[in-house]
Amino acid sequence: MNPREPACPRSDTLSDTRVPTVWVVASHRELGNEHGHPQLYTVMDEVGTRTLLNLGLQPVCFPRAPVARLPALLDGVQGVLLGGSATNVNPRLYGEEPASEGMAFDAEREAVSLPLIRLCIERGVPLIGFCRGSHEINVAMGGSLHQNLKLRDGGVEHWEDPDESLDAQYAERHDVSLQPGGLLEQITGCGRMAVSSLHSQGVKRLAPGLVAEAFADDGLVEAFRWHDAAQFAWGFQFHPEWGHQQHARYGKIMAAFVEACWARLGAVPLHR
Amino acid sequence: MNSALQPVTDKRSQAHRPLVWLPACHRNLDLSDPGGYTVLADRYAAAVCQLGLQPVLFPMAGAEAVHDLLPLVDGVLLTGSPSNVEATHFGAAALPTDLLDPRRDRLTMALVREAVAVATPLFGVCRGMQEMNVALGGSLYQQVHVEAGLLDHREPQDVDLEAQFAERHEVLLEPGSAFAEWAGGTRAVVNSLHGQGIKRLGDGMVAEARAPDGLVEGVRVASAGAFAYGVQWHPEWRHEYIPFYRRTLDAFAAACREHAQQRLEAN
Repeated sequence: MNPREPACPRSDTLSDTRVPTVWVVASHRELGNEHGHPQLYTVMDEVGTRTLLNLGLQPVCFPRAPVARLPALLDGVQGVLLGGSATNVNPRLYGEEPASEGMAFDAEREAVSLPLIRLCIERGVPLIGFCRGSHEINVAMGGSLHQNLKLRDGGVEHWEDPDESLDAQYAERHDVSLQPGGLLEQITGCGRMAVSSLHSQGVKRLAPGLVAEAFADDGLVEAFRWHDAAQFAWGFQFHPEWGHQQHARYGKIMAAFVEACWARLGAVPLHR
Repeated sequence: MNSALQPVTDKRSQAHRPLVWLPACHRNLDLSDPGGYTVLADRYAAAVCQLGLQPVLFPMAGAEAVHDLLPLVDGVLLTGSPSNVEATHFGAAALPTDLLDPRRDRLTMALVREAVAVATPLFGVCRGMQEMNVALGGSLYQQVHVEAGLLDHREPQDVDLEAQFAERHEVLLEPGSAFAEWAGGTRAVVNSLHGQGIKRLGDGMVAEARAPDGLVEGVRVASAGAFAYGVQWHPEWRHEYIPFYRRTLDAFAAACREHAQQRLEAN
């Protein structure tokens, strides 16, 4: 297809970074240009990026990374972050047809995120996912999702009010109970905490190899991790990256990810 | 202490790609999603991939990050954007009608100067060329179309994207320049979608392509130690079909590959 494929040396790793570099997987949206003509854009929400910067990590993104190059690119980073997005994981990826018409998908994102998640777990690269990102971790490893929690009628309202301000949308909306004796209980030092909740999809069947660490009162899995704790791979239905400076439990979750990234880099944080 | 993790890949046989830094833009998506976003028009990333290079984006990187991040890449591509370079960077005031992206300005002003100083291949498209010019001390017409003797270089409003990016005017290329080599002659026809344009050239810059009204449309940074060109038109648009555009991008890609080779040998 491409006659200009170069014969060139390996150079596509960020080999000289002095702080851990975290690959933030981008989303894709059609946005109007100044004339309203829609064009495809790579988009990254600033909250996840700003959180990484504030925590002393270097965010990076590789737009249009080809699947064959994911291993080489992953070698150059010390962590992967999968943020939320307005789009849904395509139900066909867990063997279901879309339950409703007009669901928004992001096939370009899934082409990168699903193989990247499996590579992270295979190679021990720290991985953290929020909301849609956690759904992708579950689906990548073989789990399935509730396509619409509003139809599940579990008694907990997991979704935001579109008329609220962004800050109100990201405020704590309900409590979750942490698995007694679990790792999240250790990390946060509490057994129950209030979390943000802006989703209408959620984990239905947890993938093999994943362990639930927190539940909403309706039984929905709100946090999970890879069973081998030596591998930092966590999915959160809520948003610890949003307000991690105000919400002490979120801060501890983010700190655990930061520590895992430094450990991957083989160095200790300079501020320690 | 500061040593990075060594690559552990077992896929050494596969071709590797030089990294090209594409500074992003910043905008809200729409009224129903007012959060701030870092965005990159996909056609630039697509073109970079087609050249056999890997796009890389450092979201929210500021001027202070340039010194640490630039050595990690093999080239810088400054993209076009609906936003304008803020006129305060060349001693004027922004117009009330300007769509601005001050965070991109802050990054690119520093990035251009550093790329020129340390000989990292640099290519600017539209806003990107204007950023190169301003970063090196030049100035811009804020509205080319109101200047006496200059044409209206803006795209038509009420047509589709294809028509907006259609070839619109000739450019006259300096004989013996790389532009003339890429075009196979001293004339080419280019698209034109811009309201700002180069007024006073930046330090060390040479005009090598001009529109029929004399506006500078293609520049070379003579003081740079590596490939450093800017164009007012959009060679990333349909470059697969237009030899002049393709050869321009190929030349940038070749410079990035050479840089990657040097970086490898230095490590």
